[in-house]
Amino acid sequence: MVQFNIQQKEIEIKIVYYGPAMSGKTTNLQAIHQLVDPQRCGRLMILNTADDRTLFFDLMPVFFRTEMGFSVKVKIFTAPGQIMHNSTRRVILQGADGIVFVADSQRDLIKANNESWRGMVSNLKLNGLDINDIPVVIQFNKRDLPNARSDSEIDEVARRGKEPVFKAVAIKGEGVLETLDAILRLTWRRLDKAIAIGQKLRLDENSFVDNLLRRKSSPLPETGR
Amino acid sequence: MSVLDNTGDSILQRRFTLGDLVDRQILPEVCNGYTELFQVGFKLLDQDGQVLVDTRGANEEFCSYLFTFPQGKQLCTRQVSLLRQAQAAENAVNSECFCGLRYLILPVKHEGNILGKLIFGPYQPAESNPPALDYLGEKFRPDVAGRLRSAVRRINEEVAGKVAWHILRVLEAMLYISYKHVLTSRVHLESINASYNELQQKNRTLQESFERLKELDRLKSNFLATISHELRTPLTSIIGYSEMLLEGLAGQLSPEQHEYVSTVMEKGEQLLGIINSILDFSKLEAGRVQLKPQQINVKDLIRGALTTMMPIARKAQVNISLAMAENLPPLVADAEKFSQILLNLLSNAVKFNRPGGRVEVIVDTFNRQRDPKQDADIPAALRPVHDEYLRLQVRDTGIGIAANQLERIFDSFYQVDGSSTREFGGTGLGLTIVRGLVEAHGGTIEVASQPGQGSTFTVLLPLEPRALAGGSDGT
Repeated sequence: MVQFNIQQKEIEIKIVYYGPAMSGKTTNLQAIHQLVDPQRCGRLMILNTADDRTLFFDLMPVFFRTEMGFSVKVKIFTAPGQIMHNSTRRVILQGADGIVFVADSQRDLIKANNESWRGMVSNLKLNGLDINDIPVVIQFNKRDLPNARSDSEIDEVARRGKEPVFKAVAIKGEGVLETLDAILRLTWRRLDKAIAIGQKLRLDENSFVDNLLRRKSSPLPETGR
Repeated sequence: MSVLDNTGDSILQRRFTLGDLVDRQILPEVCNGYTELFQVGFKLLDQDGQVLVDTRGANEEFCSYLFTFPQGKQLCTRQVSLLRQAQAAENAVNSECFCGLRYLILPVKHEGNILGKLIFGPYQPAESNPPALDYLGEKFRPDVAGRLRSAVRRINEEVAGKVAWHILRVLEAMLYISYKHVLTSRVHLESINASYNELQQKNRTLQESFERLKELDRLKSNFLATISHELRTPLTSIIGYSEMLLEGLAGQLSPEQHEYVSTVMEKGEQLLGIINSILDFSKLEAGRVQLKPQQINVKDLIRGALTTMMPIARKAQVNISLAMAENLPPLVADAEKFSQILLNLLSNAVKFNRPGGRVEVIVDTFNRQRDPKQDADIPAALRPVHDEYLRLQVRDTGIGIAANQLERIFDSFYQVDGSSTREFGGTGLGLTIVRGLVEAHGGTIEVASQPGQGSTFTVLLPLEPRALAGGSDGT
């Protein structure tokens, strides 16, 4: 749940990246960290096991100060994907303001996507949250893999659902900021409706998103897999 | 750390103070090390002005000397309170003491928020000359002051800035490590707690259902035992004594007597079959059919069923053939029920055939478009498109079924023609039982037929039935 402290002039919003194991949630965060102005994002906290699987969660704050002196912070968490970490996933989902569901585009992982989604809905419920009340965007990651479902297939399934769908190759930074941009906008709109955040911060949706996602000015270093 | 005492809200949303994040044992050690190296003291204060670290530089004696003069004491106290009150800004701020020594004030930041300030100094700026302090009084001795001042570290502004920022960066890195440590250990605790509560709850539910099921099972066993006993015992006698009569154990029977007793025995066996079917059926109806799902060997089970059927088929002059796909994937099902499905279908295919007819059994896999209603709880974009099935087809060249009867053949006790019950025998429960068993496996059964040419029954059994295989996202 958004933390809004008018006396301290602070607002803190929580976005969670959820999805099946190995779908590229951490890679999304790494790409964001690479792309966004270092003045706007804090350290990327990654808690991995030796084989690069997320152990607890990853965390990266993105923040800025408004002209009125309000500190606006969005904390982006990833939930660990492996089945055994379900209780950690539930803890991470507590008070989420927006969710990015990172689905794997590979054809044989449709079922894994579904199971992860069902788990997420049930974890949200156990946290007293309703999936219908939380902004969600779906990202189909790993578009570059040979056994990925085709673009037309993804477009087709995207048309069928109400959640905005994005295609991404997080390892190359493709589609990553677009996804984050979308969830930030949906989250903003929801918070604006619920607590009139725009009026309180004297900020509009575009300034909110543009300030958080200000790009790095220097050219990007190569990212390795 | 104090933060661990607060168990009320989620750790992930807690706002941390500088005091929460500094390790009060390690931090002074590190800070003292820097002071020894640069001979400049510094202070770390939180936003409320509370001092968390205070190291003493080489200015001690000089400052103490100035403090002995009433005006020096006054000015010095004012300087200290100015430093305390100074708000840390985004950039470093200079503050110069009346004696010409200088301080740098830097913000201590964590995730973009200012949590406190680092006051670096005092040091003697190399660029500027010390001011005259004669106004402190007649007793003030510039030569003593000059000697003591010379012990204070002289640094030029640029170096002072670099050193101060370096110390600040090290401090911030230490704060970050503490933050990471607090966060992970707390999330770990919360996760364990969540798992524990979940298991406790599940255990309770399991225990309760176990007790309830034990009671139900006892009642069911009693009922079944009673039914079996009460109905089958007299029947066994009827069949047994008929058999003895037929074998001539009570003396030779006349042809007429033989025929009557044969009928008694045949009908007795039929009745036994009906009772068994009804027992099966009542279990299905009550949803009490108990599957023992396991990975089964489809090939062996099918061959077994065919072997069982062979003598009956031969007697009816019906030829049975089998076409089985290579490399059938493993199927999770109840082996006994699987055989029962196949045997019932085969026996129908033979029974409703004609002499010289054929029965073909075809086994392969089949991908079927998934029913979207099944996944109404997930967004359309994420739904699986296909389900994989084992397909079992039994095709006969028998009498076939008229289109308007196809719907009803799975109804209990129904046979297409009322009189056919007599012609072909049976209870009309076979297909109902087959459908019940197939559905219990999460599968479907369909029939296609051309009257006079034959029928094809198609059973689809999911390779990984959800209800049987179990396992989901850990919840």
